[in-house]
Amino acid sequence: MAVETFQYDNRTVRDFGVATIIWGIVGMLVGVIIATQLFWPRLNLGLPFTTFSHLRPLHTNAVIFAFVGNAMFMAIYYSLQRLCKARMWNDTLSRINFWGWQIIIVLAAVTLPLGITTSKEYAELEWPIDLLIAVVWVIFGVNMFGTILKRRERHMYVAVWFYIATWVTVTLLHVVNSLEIPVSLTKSYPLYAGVQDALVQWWYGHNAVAFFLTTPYLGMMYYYLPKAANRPVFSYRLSIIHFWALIFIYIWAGPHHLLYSSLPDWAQSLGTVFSIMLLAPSWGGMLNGLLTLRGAWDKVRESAVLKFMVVAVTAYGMATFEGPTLSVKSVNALSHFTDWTIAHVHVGALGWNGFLTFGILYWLIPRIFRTNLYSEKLANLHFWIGFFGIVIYALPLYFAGITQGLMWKQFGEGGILSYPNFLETVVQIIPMYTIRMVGGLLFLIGVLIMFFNLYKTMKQGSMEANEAAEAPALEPRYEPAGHDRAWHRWLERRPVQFLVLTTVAIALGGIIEMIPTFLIRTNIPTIASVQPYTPLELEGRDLYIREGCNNCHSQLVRPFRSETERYGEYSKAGEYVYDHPFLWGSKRTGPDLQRQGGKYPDAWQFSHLKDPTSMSPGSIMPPYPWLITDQLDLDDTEAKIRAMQTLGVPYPEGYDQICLNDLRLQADKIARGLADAGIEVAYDREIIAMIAYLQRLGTDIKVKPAQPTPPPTTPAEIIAGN
Amino acid sequence: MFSDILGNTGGAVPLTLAAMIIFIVCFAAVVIWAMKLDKHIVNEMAHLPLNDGAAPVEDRGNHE
Repeated sequence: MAVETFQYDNRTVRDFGVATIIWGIVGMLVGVIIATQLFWPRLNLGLPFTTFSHLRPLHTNAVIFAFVGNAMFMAIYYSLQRLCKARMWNDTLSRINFWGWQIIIVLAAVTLPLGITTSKEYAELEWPIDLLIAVVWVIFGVNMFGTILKRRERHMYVAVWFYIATWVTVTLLHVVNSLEIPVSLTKSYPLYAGVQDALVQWWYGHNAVAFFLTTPYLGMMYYYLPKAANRPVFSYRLSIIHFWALIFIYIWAGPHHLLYSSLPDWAQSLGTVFSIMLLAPSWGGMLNGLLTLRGAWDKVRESAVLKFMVVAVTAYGMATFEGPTLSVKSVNALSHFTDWTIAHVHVGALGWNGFLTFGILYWLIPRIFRTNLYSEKLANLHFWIGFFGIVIYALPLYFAGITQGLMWKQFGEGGILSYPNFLETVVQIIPMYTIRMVGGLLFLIGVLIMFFNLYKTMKQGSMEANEAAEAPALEPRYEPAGHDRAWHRWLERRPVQFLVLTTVAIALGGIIEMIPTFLIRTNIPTIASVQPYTPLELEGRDLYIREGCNNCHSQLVRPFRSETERYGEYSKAGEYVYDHPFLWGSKRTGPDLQRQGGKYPDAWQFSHLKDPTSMSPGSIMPPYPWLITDQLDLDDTEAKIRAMQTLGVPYPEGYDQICLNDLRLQADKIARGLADAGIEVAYDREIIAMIAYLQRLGTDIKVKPAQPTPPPTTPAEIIAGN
Repeated sequence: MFSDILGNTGGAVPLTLAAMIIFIVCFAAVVIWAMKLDKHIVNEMAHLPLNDGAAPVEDRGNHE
């Protein structure tokens, strides 16, 4: 066939690259700020939007979707064009993809600090932004498939398979986990409740790690590592096995985030089994990456790019060994809710995603600017600062996690908890929080060095926005012969069929875990005494979500003696049936709150929210004084009740019309109780709703009346009995 | 019948077993196929990233 000349689009690649660096700095800076607040809470300057619980989701979203997201687009836009020997299908779609993604990031940066959040980890953005994400993601997919379909390379390389799997799985995850009923422009409730919501969320959450932080990066590894080392991948055969095994197994592992929870035991076991199986394909991929450098290790000594890539692949190996380890129930019993998980996540995020991104940036920016890197020395300096940053970040958190986990479980000779006061276990690890911040700061300094180095590189070069290339066109009719007739070779030539098979592979796990949990009533046994939240409690719950309390407090008592002694009765699935969304949390920076109701008087809760150190000297919880001054917004209360009714919460018909009366009755009762304790606060302040919610937590099955009485059947009766 | 099967087994066993069997069969097929793959094809595919049709970068030296 005749050789065709065409041009690669480097401008979009450059734009995503610049966005990667800028958002990376922002995301990591927020990380350093909140890491500092863990030992110096007053750094929030007394403002709600700079408080840990508001900024923590901003940090995770900025790093995952802004830093890694832009890096992923940058790397895919560059490599896909070259692997397909074709320009991106449509330049306009490329521009919409770029600017649409940046708008999403800006909206996240505005809404999350304001407390506009769904509370679901890594899916905190509210429904209008969810819709925008879906639109931009589909545009990216159309552009990607358009490029694949008009390619000049007959067979799709393994990196392209990983890109396809990424696109289809993220689409599925985002749609299923974002199904929600809007109450207003900034508020929605998920369709699922309690255990089912937890299962869907962690199916999403785990696979956001798998298919947003891992599979695109594996595709990138399979393209950029051979390019940087100038040698082919170690084993193409292994990459085929790696791909199919990984995408099939990964999707099942979500329930390992819910071990010892109220999730049915069979689902927890499935999560554990598949997590352990996952070790094989993960390490297959890691070894394939490392062995690509066989005979070229001398280059690693000289090249900062290869240094970054080698450590990235090694960190991937470490994180994917640790992941299955943490999924073993006996290990998880110790590690869950502690900083061990945070250390694990950051080995993956800083080492695997961060270092592979940096390696690719150092390799790619000089190429599209037709120059050499401004300073290899600075790149090497960045490598070493970043490397020690990761070590200094992770090691103290491993110590912190194991120390605190053991302290939570320690019993003394008399059979009572050795550390019954949760705060004792926090104070013990504060020095480790300080060291962790230093590690994060070092990592950020390294990124700033990279920013300078790449800025100078861009300045000294000139970008080739449209890079000339040539390749023969594909013959319209292709008659495969010999091995090309094999079924997988056939699949490698057909992106649509490849997409369908990939969809089947990734859908199976989710379907098999979710259908029984949703359809079989015995999986979620109901409890007669569990009642819907009163309107005031519902408003308080939404404030709990707005303030991000779930970032530091769990609502899940695991069935361990160490937990039932500390918190009370272990959690039951039936307790959460009206929880849209579930608020189990994933980290205990503070104690569990599932049995908080009635534990302390209202006056204690008031004073604690106003200034936590007044009730718990040495506490690292920030004050929430604005809850006392700000008026409770009741504009949407009726709509919230109606939304809950739509979701199946059994409020009486027409209750939305009278719910505000009940709300005021309950609020007035709490305000009068506080006045009796010498605290003057108007009944319509936010803190009243927050106290109502906290005092409700866990009381449905906690209160055991001396004589059996019929459970209250309406919210008004619940208020009367409060 | 479907709900009976699910109800009698806690919902997980038959579906999971079916999925595992499908996975093992497909996985075995992929492994066997990959191992029997022609060496020339493997070589050609492995070299795809190294041959992107673009001109090599001119070495202009850097800051040091």
